[in-house]
Amino acid sequence: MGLHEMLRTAITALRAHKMRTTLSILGIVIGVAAIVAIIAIVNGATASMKEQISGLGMRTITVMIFPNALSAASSARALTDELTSKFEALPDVSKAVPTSSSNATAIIEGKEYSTSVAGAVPEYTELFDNFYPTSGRFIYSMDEQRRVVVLGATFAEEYFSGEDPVGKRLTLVISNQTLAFTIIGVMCSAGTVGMQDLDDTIYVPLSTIQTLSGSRQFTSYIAQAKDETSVNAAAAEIEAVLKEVIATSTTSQSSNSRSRTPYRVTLQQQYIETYESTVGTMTLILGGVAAIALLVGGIGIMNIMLVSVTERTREIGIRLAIGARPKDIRTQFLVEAIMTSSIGGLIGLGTGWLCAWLGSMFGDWPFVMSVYPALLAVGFSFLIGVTFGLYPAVRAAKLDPVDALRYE
Amino acid sequence: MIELTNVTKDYPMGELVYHALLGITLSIQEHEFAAITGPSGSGKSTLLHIIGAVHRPTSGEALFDGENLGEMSREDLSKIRNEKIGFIFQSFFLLPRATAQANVELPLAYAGVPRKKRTEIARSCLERVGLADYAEHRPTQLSGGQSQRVAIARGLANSPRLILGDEPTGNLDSHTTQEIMALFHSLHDEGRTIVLVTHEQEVAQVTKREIVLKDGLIAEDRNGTT
Ligand SMILES: Nc1ncnc2c1ncn2[C@@H]1O[C@H](COP(=O)(O)OP(=O)(O)OP(=O)(O)O)[C@@H](O)[C@H]1O
Ligand SMILES: [Mg+2]
Repeated sequence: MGLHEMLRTAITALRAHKMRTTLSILGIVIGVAAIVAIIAIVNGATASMKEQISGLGMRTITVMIFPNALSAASSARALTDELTSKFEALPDVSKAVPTSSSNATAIIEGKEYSTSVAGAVPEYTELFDNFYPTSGRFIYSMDEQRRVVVLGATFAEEYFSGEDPVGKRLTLVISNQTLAFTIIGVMCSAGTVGMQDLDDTIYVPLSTIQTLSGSRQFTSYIAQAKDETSVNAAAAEIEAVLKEVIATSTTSQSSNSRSRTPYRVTLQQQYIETYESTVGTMTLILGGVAAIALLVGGIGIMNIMLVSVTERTREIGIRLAIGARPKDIRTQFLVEAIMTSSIGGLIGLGTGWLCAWLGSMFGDWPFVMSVYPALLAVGFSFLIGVTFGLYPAVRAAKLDPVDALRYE
Repeated sequence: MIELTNVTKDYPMGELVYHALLGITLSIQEHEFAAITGPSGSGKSTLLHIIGAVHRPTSGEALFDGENLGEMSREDLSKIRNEKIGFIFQSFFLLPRATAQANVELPLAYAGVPRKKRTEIARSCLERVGLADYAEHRPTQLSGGQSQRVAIARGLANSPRLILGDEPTGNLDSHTTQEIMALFHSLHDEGRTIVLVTHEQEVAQVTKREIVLKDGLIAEDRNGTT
């Protein structure tokens, strides 16, 4: 009996028990759908995350200096300017900008919101490929010491939806001082740098922040490497500079007990790697759960097939009596099991993609319909059909026509 | 063609064993037309199943074309059943969900006959038993006599050398019985060997040989009755 014939026979048998077939494939459907959806959602979310980050440039390096580290050189405004120019002079660094980041409370129309505030200099926008004001302007050098703010896109959208906030006033609580600021601009949407969401931030002239907080010390820098391949070299150069500068500025107390490095240099790439490894772990756990669902689905199929073999003893006997070989019977049941699980796999694939698509709608990331999980899912369900169909099939083939002739 | 020597068949019945055949020695030549008769429960069906390679004898020797059925693998027995024997079972053994046509095609499918040829052969077999109009009916939509004739048509499908019928006219009226008997005769004339189990005297009488069973033994083996 040819394969074509076997398939037809299997379809007939499966259609004869629609309800049972449906129930037996349910486990496979759920398992495959879960796996496909998880993979697609993770891929989509990762793609969108990467797009956001690389939109800002994979060249970005964040430098953080812990304030106490420089206590000896506390009033060293000169040091920070010196650091900026030292960084910019490095062979693999194209740009360096001092900045600060802190949390503050914004008061808009009497309501308080906590937000993050970045101290910015005019060159700040040059760090990113596409960071420009959509309304008003960014901070100019004439804004030094002035109480003006520029809003990130998300912040503006959330608290001033629909209206243009430029020209309006905003109250900020910084370093225990409650002060009014004038909004001079709104930035376009740009994404995240390190841990800072550029869009959910308020930009205040760096000099203003420093004056308010009483420190004239720049505690962080954002630098940009010349190109993506020189990021690591640039970071190493920056660290070398930091080591040297901090060593000289803290000589008087360098022998104290503090052993941790007083600064941290972070690459944008590292955030991606951290993100990916977190997501990877999560995917593994969820994938494991889905795999268990598949296993249960496989056992379900085996159970149904065993029932089916018992129930169809007579049919098997008739086939054997008129000349079907045991091999034919085995193949028939195997084909049925494989077909059941493969149909389950295909339906699961469709369901999984649908879920992933819905997820991408809600999560606002691209829908990645990769071929790899599709092949994996269908191949895996085929395998389940073989594995869990084999035992019932062998049992069916072992029946004797005599049994069937007696079986009612 | 068939050589049985001291064949016995036991059926296990829980703790006990039922001895259905007690020692049958029998030989059926190529091109014979024989009837097996005897009271109900005498072992007629059991004997026919052994001749037809469906059962293996419990003891004794059953040869088919000189080959020992008792020593053959299940695959080989299937092959013999499929290629050389057309078996018409007492209770038909039709697949309930398949049409008459599909039932008749089944042995051909297992023999690997291509689809087109299969349809053709099955049609002509159904025609021979007068059921051409019922090809698309399922067994549940057929009368007992019609089912029996579908079973006969299936038995003819692979044009087997040996045709075994277990009361093939048991459900038929006398008119149809005569038609079917005429069919067996023409099959016999084509050169096939035919063995029929029957209760009916008029059927037994038209065959060349009558083997009478009683309590699992051959009581009489009449040759040359016409
Ligand atoms: N599978 C079986 N298991 C147990 N006993 C069986 C089995 N098949 C037949 N028998 C017994 O063996 C005996 C012979 O059965 P068999 O079917 O050969 O009789 P038969 O001559 O064909 O009868 P009938 O004319 O009623 O068809 C019967 O007593 C029956 O009960
Ligand atoms: Mg009988």
